[in-house]
Amino acid sequence: MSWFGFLEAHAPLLVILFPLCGGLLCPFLSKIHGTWGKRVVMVCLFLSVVLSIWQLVLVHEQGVLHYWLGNWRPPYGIELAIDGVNGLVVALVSVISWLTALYSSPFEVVSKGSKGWVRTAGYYSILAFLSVGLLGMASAGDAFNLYVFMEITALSGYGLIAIGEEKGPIAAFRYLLTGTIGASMYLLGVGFLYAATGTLNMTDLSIRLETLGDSPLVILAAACLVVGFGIKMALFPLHGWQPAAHSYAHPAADPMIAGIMIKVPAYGMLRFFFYIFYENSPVMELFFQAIGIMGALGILFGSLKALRYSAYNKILAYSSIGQVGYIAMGFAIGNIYGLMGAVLHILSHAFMKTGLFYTSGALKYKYGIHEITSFGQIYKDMPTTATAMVVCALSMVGLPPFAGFFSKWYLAMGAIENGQYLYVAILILSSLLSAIYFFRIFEELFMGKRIEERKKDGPLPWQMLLPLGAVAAAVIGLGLGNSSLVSELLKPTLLEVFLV
Amino acid sequence: MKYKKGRKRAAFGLMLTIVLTAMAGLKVGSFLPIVGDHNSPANSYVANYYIIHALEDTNSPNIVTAVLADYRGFDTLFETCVLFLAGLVVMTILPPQISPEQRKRLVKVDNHSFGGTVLDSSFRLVVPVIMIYGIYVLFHGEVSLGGGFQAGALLACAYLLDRIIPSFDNRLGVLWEEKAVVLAGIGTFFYAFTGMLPMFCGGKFLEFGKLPFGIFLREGTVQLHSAGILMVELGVTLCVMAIIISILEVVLERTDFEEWRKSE
Amino acid sequence: MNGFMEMANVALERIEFFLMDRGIYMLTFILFAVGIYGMVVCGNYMKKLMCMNVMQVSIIFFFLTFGQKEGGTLPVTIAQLFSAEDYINPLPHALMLTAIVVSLGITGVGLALLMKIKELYGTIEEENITGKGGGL
Repeated sequence: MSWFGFLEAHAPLLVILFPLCGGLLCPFLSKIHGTWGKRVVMVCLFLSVVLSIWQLVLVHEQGVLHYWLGNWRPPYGIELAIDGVNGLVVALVSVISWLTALYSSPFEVVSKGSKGWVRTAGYYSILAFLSVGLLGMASAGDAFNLYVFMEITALSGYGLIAIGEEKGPIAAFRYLLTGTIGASMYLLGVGFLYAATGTLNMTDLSIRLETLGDSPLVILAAACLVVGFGIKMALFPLHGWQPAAHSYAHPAADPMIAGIMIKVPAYGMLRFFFYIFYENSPVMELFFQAIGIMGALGILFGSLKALRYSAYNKILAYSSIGQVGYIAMGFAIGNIYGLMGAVLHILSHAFMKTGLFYTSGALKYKYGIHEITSFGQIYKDMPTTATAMVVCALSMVGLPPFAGFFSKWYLAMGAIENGQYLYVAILILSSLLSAIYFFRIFEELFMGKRIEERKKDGPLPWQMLLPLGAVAAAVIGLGLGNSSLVSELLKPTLLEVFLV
Repeated sequence: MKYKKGRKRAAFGLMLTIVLTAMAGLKVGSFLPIVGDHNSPANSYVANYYIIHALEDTNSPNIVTAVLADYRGFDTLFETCVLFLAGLVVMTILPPQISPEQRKRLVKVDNHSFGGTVLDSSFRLVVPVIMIYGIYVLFHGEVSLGGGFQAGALLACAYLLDRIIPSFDNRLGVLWEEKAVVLAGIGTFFYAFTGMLPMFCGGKFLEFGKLPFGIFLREGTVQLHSAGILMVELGVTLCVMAIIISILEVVLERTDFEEWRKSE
Repeated sequence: MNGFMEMANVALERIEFFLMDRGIYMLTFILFAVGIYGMVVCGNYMKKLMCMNVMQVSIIFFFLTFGQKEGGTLPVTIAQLFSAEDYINPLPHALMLTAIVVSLGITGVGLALLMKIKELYGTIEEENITGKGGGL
């Protein structure tokens, strides 16, 4: 078999396998030579980026890709299933993990001591595993396999939060307790589904659940899954762990934790509620209403709470609660526009929030500041960072032509089509609120009092400039190119979901 | 007084939780299948396939091992990764504090008795027996009850006993935590590598029927599945053993270091 | 009076049958709730971690209960028994082996975090660290 055919046949697996091998061999290679481990991790993550984008092309050409692990037929073995939506999520995760690995290399200077490699190897290995867990969660076609990947994601998240700032260990410990409740609730839900159907494969589950209808076990399972995924994606009343975890994590890994670690569980919720459960039954309508109320309250709560803080990271963390609310609202709207808005918001918010946390990390790296009151006219010293911050923040507010506008546009269209005008009102109100807290930052950034004693030692290293530029470009590109993305990939895939 | 009041309230809350859950459990339990029912969906659909076909598909009489290492081997790979990751995270959160020279002195200083002469000498006798038993469990994982996780835990247990009884001359040697994590990474990679081998021979990941061992075993036979399961269990054993050792060493170093610093 | 005794007897019988058939589910749910309750109420981080373990064990029990079969033996193939009726369900056991290992890993990381917190703050009581909370 040619190399090309080999890659084509194994693409869904290799996307996960490359970072896995990098993460496993990183300690060994780092022990031999201080920088080999991190280089191998970066190369592996880059290969995964290339493969995931190519896989997206394959999905576009051939439809859903199924990969049977060990060649066992699906209800008996495990499969990976990639369609247009989770292909996009996989590509998003791999791109952001690679950029973050690149971004963190200036932070992790190999220290001279004999034990310097331990920290470097640990950091990059955990980062690679975070990527593996998220990629696996997005592409798993088996309910229990998703649980294992969820725990890999969570464990690497605990590690990256704990090695962060001074309050990191406490934030990590609290997240460990809450996250374990979430994962246990998910497992309980899978247990109910298994008791009702006797299978764990997602495709098979959806077929068997159709005959069961609204049996009490299915309702219990749905309730458990809402709580489980809700905790993992920091949906409003279940968000307690999130602000501390996102503001005290390791500054280099924070973009990835804040950007995509809460988006992939959101995709998991979409997968369970629209692919597996029979979404048109009256009980499921109730669940969607509950999710919508949680999302709407979360939007208001997150935006109002973000107004109260002056620490940059805290503002961003609370605004994440609001932005996750948009995704939940898209599920609650539940028609094709709502879902397209939700998926687009997963993508666009991942890029925006990652970009904002890149700027936060850059400010911390250069000047060690994180209060917005000390931002005075910093755009003169760090023009690229300031540009990226403005682009991402305007997109968060929802101004055209940036990506954030179009996801909100689709959400509003879906809400109007269903006649849910309350959601439209909340969309507009929250956009205004986020405009207020981002313009507070802009005010300090452009018009604040300049602090003179900042020392000038050249621009940021290129490893940090490249991710900043790439993410800002992605936010603009996603905004300009979203119509082709929707018509080529999202609409066909989601229409199939609705027809089944 | 305040403390007591809090306790009372907590106990009351606990009783309330138990009563409420019991009432909810009465309702929820009535939806679930009867315990031991042969015809419940959980017991009749996928599970029966495993019971009927495991022996002919995978050559493994132990059906749990067949499911764990072959049908759902992908889960087990990442389960091993979870363990590796746990060791790695523990080592990264609590990095080694002292230099190698200090460590060597530490091992020499550390000869306080563990449990009196009788226990010390009997544990020394037990160590080789545990190791042999661990290896037995490793190789019999697919035939009877056993497997990589148990074998790894037993081997780590032997190491643990050897490490905490007062030093005697024929020690096994010390495996420091960072080296243990490296070893665990290699062990887990061995698992992934076993899965990758069939990919180069036209199979899928973890398809043990296409392992390239044509010299020893005929292609396409179920014996290849046995070979695959054994290799996988070997990787798991290495990982589990090394991770338990690394966590142990992290903790020992911290506690020993404190005591040692006090005595100096 | 007789009628009342009869009713009580019937009720007792029904409860007995329920406990025989499905009582174990109720016990696992109670264990789960007690675990979560403890995690909320306890002020000591170590106790919280132990309650978390209780919760995880309850889920393991839950899965294992619906893998049971009346009259089934261990899922290791024996030459004389070939029908699927004779062995208990192997799938929940395999799944729960994974879940046990995962919970082991999480507990290990949690304990390491506690050691770090103890080093940083000198205590693992929540009220001393965050200045609020408390309880047990």
